[in-house]
Amino acid sequence: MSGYLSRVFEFAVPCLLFWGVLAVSVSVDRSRFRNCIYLLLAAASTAPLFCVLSGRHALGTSRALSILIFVVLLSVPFVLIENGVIMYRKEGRSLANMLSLIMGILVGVGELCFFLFFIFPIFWSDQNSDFITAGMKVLLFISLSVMYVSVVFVSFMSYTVLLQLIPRKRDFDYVIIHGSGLLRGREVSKLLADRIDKAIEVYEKDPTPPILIPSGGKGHDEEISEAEAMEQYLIEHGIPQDHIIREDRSTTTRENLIFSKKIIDERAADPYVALVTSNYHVYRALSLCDDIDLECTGIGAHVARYYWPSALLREFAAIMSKKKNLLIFIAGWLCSVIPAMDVVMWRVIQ
Amino acid sequence: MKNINNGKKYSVRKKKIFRFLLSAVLFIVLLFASMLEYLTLTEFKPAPSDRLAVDHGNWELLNKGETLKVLTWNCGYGALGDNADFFMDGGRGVMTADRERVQSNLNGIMEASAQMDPDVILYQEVDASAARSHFIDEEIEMINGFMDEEELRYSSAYADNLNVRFIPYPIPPIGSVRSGIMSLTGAFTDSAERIQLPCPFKWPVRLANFKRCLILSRIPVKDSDKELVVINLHMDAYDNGEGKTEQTRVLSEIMKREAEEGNYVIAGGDFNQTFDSVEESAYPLQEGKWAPGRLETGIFGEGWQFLMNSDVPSCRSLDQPYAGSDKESFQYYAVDGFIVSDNIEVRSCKTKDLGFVCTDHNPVLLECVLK
Repeated sequence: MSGYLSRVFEFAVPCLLFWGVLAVSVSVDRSRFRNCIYLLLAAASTAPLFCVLSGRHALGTSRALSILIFVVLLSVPFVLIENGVIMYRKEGRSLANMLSLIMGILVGVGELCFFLFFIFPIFWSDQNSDFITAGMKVLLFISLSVMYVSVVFVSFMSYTVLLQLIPRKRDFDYVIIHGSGLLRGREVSKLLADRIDKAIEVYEKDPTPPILIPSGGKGHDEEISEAEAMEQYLIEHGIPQDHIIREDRSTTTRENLIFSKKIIDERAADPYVALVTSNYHVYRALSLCDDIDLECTGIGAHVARYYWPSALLREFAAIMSKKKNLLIFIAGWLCSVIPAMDVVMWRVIQ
Repeated sequence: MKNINNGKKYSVRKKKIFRFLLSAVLFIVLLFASMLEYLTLTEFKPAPSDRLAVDHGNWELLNKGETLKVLTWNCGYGALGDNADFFMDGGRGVMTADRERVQSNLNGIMEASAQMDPDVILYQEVDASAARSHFIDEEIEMINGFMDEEELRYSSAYADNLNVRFIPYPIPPIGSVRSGIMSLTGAFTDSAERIQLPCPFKWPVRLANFKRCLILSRIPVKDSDKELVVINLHMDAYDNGEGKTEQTRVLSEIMKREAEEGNYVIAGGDFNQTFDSVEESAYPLQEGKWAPGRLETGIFGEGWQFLMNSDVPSCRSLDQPYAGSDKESFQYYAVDGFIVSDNIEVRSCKTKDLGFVCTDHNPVLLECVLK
């Protein structure tokens, strides 16, 4: 084998193994969080392969890639903080809306610490060596921790995107539409309209028009049930009434799914079901489906671009707040940051 | 009704077992892929030829007509003393010596070397930084170990021949290793070069394996335009035989080229082969033990002297510890020696019997005179 081919082969083998592990794991159980990590590993192993594919220009490609990554990383805090300001203006002040601002500040602080970590040794002298070393350890710890959280979040975000890219057959039997809060007690919000529009799109592309199940009960501050408002919207947009079955008893996402499942089970033995929800929510929704044994395909509706980062962060926080996931998150943090600190400090001290 | 319930429980459990097994398999594949990726990214890829840093210092020029003593010794990285057995030879050992033992082995090697007062020392299996020798920098130890009234006795040149971030086998794994060969020269040395030898291993086995090399040192000779070329070598041990043969062939080409220039050539080290000038009956091969190759001296052509002794073995098998074993029935080998050009008069070449206390090899001392 020529040198080029053998080089490509050497990097292609582990890369394919990583993608293989991801493919198998996703097909067996798409709701496991570990799939996010597998995706991260597969993507990471593709980078050296990509560089090696450019043959003689491998070094140049790897440098260009590194610069690109560096520039993207530097821009993240600015993008997030700007998004936080937009969220404040458009959606008002609440913790959920401030998540991107907080994350932006966190990443910014982490990057600053990283930068300072490299600057610190310049001020080293015999008198302040203890202070410098201690300071470097603190700076390294903060930057590595921020790096860890960011990496886990980015892998979650990528996986959310991947879940929506998985190709699917179009001939659904039933399409559940995940409801959300109404405006002024009876109107469909932009967020909800986006979901219903997506469901309509699925309906129109389906060779055998499915039954749509708008799902959502009546909240305290609502005049009509979410399902009723959604049904009106659907009819206004040309969906025939006999293709709509309301599910109007649920008050949580879990109930959305359980009651919709009941409706379907009463009517069909082996249905091909789709669940339409906002794109950032697909992971959690599918996870709930798997919990209640509802086999369905997740379809993500478009969400206003400015809304997406905070929503995704909120999803991430919700997933991490489950005890099992939190424990694993902390264990991962200890297992990666502490040895990494050891290795970096050991190298730097020399 | 009861039957249906039990059926469902059974299949749910089966599903769980299947998922658990699958997770375990996926995890192992992941570990394997990660190891491949890491080792491929960090693979040691030396150039065909590398200039080594050489201290010119205050050493005097080498004289023709004076006795020159050259020592070759495989140090077993300080961990293959008489207590050791090694899994690659059929034994069980991986970490074969604790820190104190490595230090005492090294001291023993250096003391014994100093007693012979060589002008040139060719060491093999010197760990610069390895888990198996507790990260003791043996290179520095050797350089500083020979002091001549506060001055360094020798100018040194070291070259890596094994540089792997993590060797993932056996259980427990060998781990991180950076090891090589080292030439110590007591006369003014002009330059030293690391020459990469052909590697018989393919990816991925190659990742955790040796990249064998030669150190070629050039020592100018007083009142002569010719040089003494000293070559330190350590051929492959655990290949299928073709590796060492090919490496020997490359060595012969290099040596022939130097001899054509009229230079004095001494090549010494651990060939992991027995010269075909040594009778095979000297150290008969026992069943199941590691077998050295056989070096065809004919490929070097005319004008060479092949020096390898059979009266004292230069190496012992590592299939069991040496201390407390039956020395009579132990497996020995003759694999260390010298190849010297005809323009050098050989006074003697002896393998010293030091009982394999500090390492699994005995030193071989060459005494010669440049004509």
